[in-house]
Amino acid sequence: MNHDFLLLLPVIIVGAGAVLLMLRAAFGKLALDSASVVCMCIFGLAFAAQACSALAGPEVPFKAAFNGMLMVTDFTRVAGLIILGCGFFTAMSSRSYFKENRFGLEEYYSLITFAAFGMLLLTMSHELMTAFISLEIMSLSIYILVGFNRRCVTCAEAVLKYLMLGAFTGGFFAMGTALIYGGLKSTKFEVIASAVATHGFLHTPALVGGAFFIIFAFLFKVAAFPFHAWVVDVYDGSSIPVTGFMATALKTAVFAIFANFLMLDPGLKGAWVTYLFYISILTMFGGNLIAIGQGSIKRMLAASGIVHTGYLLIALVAVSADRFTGSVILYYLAAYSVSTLGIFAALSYLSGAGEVRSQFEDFKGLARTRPYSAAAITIFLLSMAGIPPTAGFMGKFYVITSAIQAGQVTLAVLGIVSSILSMWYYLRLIINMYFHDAHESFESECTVFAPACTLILAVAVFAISLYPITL
Amino acid sequence: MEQTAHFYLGLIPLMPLIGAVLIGLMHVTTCRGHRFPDKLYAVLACIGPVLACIMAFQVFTILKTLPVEHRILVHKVFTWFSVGELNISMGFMADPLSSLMILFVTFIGSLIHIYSIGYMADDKTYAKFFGYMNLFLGSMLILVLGDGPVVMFVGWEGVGLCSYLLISYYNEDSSNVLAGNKAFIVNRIGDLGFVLGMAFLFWAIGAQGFDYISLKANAHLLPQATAMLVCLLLFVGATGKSAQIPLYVWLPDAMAGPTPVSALIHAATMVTAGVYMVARFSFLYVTVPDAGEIVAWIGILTALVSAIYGMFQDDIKKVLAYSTVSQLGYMFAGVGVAAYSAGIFHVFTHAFFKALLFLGAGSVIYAMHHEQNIWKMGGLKKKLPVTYLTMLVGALALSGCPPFSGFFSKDEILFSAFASGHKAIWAIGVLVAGMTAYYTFRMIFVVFHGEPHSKSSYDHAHEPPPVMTVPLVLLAIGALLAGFFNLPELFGGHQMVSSWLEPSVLDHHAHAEASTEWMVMGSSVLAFVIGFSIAYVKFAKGAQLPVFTGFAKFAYNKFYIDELYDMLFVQPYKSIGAIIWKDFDPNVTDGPRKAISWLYGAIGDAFRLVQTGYVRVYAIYMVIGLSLISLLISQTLN
Repeated sequence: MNHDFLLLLPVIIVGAGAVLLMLRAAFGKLALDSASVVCMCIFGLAFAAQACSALAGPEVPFKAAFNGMLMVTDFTRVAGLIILGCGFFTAMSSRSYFKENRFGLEEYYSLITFAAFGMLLLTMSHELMTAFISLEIMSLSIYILVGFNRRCVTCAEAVLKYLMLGAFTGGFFAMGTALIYGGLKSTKFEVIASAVATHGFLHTPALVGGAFFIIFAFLFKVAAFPFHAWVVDVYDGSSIPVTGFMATALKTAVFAIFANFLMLDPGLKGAWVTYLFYISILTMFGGNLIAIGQGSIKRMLAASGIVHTGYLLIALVAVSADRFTGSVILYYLAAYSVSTLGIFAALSYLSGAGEVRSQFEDFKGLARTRPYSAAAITIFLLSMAGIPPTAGFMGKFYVITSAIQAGQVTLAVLGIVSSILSMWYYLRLIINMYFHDAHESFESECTVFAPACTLILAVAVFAISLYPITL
Repeated sequence: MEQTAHFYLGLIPLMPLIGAVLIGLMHVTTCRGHRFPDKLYAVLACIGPVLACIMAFQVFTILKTLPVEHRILVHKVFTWFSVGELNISMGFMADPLSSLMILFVTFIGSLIHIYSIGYMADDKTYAKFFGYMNLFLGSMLILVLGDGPVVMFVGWEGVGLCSYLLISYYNEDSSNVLAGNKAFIVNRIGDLGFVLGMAFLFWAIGAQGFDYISLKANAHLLPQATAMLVCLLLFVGATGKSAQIPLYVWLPDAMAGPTPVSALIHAATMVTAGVYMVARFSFLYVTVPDAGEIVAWIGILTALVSAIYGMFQDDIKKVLAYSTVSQLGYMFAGVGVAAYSAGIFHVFTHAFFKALLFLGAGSVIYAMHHEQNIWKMGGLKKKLPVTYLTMLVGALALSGCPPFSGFFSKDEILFSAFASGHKAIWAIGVLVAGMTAYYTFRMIFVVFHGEPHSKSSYDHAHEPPPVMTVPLVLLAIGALLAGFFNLPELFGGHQMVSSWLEPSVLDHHAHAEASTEWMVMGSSVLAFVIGFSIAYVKFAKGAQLPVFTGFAKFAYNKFYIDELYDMLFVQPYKSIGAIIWKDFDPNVTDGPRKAISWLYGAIGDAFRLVQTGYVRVYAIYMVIGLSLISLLISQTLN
């Protein structure tokens, strides 16, 4: 029982912290700046607890306590670590962001914490209703965060689009759950797994239909082709720290449950490999093509997020369901999260009041006036493009190696081609920063938080690249 | 005892390298703001070389206590890399040859470091200079101590780099930078030969181990043709580093660097690396006498050609530079006729007297406020007595006057050539000896005797500080006495150096009658006397700037070799580069690339239109995707 408690501790800390933050904010007892610090503390504490649990012991299904609805494995532990890290750095850079963009409220930090709570639960879910509830906890918090700046028209547009399409997807998920329950009289993953193992996936029509809808909901959340179209508008409309949080933590959480669900049985995964194969190719190249046409950095990053989803789908195709560790997926997620969060942290203090600097052209000559920020952004971009010795390179390396080991040579080659094409828009920003004269001084009245966050993440880009994993 | 020697072996190259890193870091961190005092750098820079010198002595004495056949110590520090059959460790080896080399390299290196404290005073980037110098010394010691060709190559490239950095040291003047570039590029050509030679050697017999000991043991397995090829390719490397025909052109230009650099790198140590390498690979060269023949001929012809150039130079450092090339030619003639110990002995004595001459020239230049033209000097004997006397010793040693050191070493080479039947090489050698005496004393007389040519700079001239003159005196003692280390049996000596080197190099001992030996020696002395007399008659009483005509003009312009190389190699190369750059690259290779990038941009722009911004359209995409895949799934179900 003690052991169970340790495993659940991060979720408890984050959940309790979110409620606490919300209450304090409701009674006006907390200044905005202290709210961010409290939020960082919550995430830091939960991260430490999660790290302890990751070091502590073997996987434990919560049989007694939660009737098998939750399950903790090494995979979910590390996914939780990534999510908590993302939350920490988002809270950190938000503080600087709200120095210039004065629409921040104390509830903002509470919502971030709530979203992280939902994500943590989502990674651990071992049952469809739990997954649905945690998915909705996460999504609802994120909807509010996207539309947090109520005076901004693009924000309203973004939240409307996201909410409509998200509701659409939530419907899919619920319908899939209903179908599976109808077929199997249970929503537990274990039951699904044993049903697939005994009868075969394709011989249970309710299961085929149910899994179909559920996987579509996941594909929508990670913005895979052809469910990617919302991403660009939504990322563009939301404020920078929120975009960073969505792009990283949300993707990590959804990929965790996606992988957990898909790896229930080799039969289930095997039936989906062909579709995921095409979806990942279309996602990579579609994302690349969208990114090339963009003039705004946020939109470009949104589109590049689609491309990274494509890589993660390759990893998903390549992992073997028999002995699933998910190390490649997690490594790629960690590498991607660090670089993406880094860029958004840098943007959150560089883009100025009201995010006036949003286009590629606005960052001309950044290297002349703010060489360190420009260098950090360059590191993040190179990591996203997959240039050694960054974490992004190692992530792509592992993904492509695992694809080759799984016999998916076509995917590996297309992955490399796509990574070459992605240089187009990553280098475009570097060129703008380094090979033009500065027209302005890029001064901002920011606190030390976001720059410190950028520095830590820039170091992390190299640190993660040194961390070895086994495929 | 041997343990101590092992310990020292690893430390010897490390000492100057640590100094280089330390000085470099200190310089880099402080070059913008407050600088450390120059004295601190001076002390730091000298510690490494001096410690290395003391350890080199230790190693030498330890080696001396061992029985002759066991005089070899190998210290493998770590495995550097291991690929297939190629196992390379970072190992250092002390045997008689390398211990002799490190002895005088560290000794002269230390003296020149001390001298530089005075010479480089008031330099703006004092620390940078000493950083480079320490780096050079460390690389040179790696070169000499390396236990195999690969480790030697590390040092070989290291000294090349430092040479480049120090030639271009005064980089405000673009001609100095060009001189550095020239040295580097010409050396690269040589390096290619070295690398190819190494590759062939590894391909043939490297599988059983690629250090000198294994190579020596397996040398007999090498087919004759391969051995010939390897020897010649290695020699190409040597012609680059040691400035022999056809790659000698960089050394005179290298005098653009500060004078201590010319003394240390371009006279005493680095340029002799080629000779050392040939001696090191003597086990290969003895198997193919033809290769040795080529080495000897290239050497003696280089000696002749550069002695001719030397007779017509008017820059004091250029005179010395050509004399260096010429003396290097002698050394190659020596190792070419399989008299390896004679060649190395000349490296040894030459290091003393040429370093001495360069440092002397440095103090003349220092006194004359960076004037290098000998025709603007004159009469400096009274103003610079110490410099004059020490340089006189150096000049006598260089021109081979008995009993100065140069006489013994040069004579040994000439005797070996004669005794081994290379009479033509011997004859040219004697001729060059006469020319050497002529141009050396031409320089001495014009600079120190006669009337001052430039009154104002003469009046301001003064003897440099003791930190510069003391090394001069020490080197003069060395130049005077170094020859006695290898006193031939004719004079009752025991040829200490030759017998010391015996285990390392496979000497071919030529035997001849004592009368022949007397004759050879006599002709050398005669050549010296003739050369000296001509110089005395022409220049001792003062001479004016000569006007060169005919052959003299041709020689003054160095036979227009630089221009010829420029026309034959540099210009065609440049024009090919220009064609590729201006025509081929933009039109041919860039064409497809531009087309692809345009195409992709166009597709990207088209795709952007799909992002309409209408949420209903996005929902339609989802529905279409959903329908397509459900269709596919229903296909599979059937």
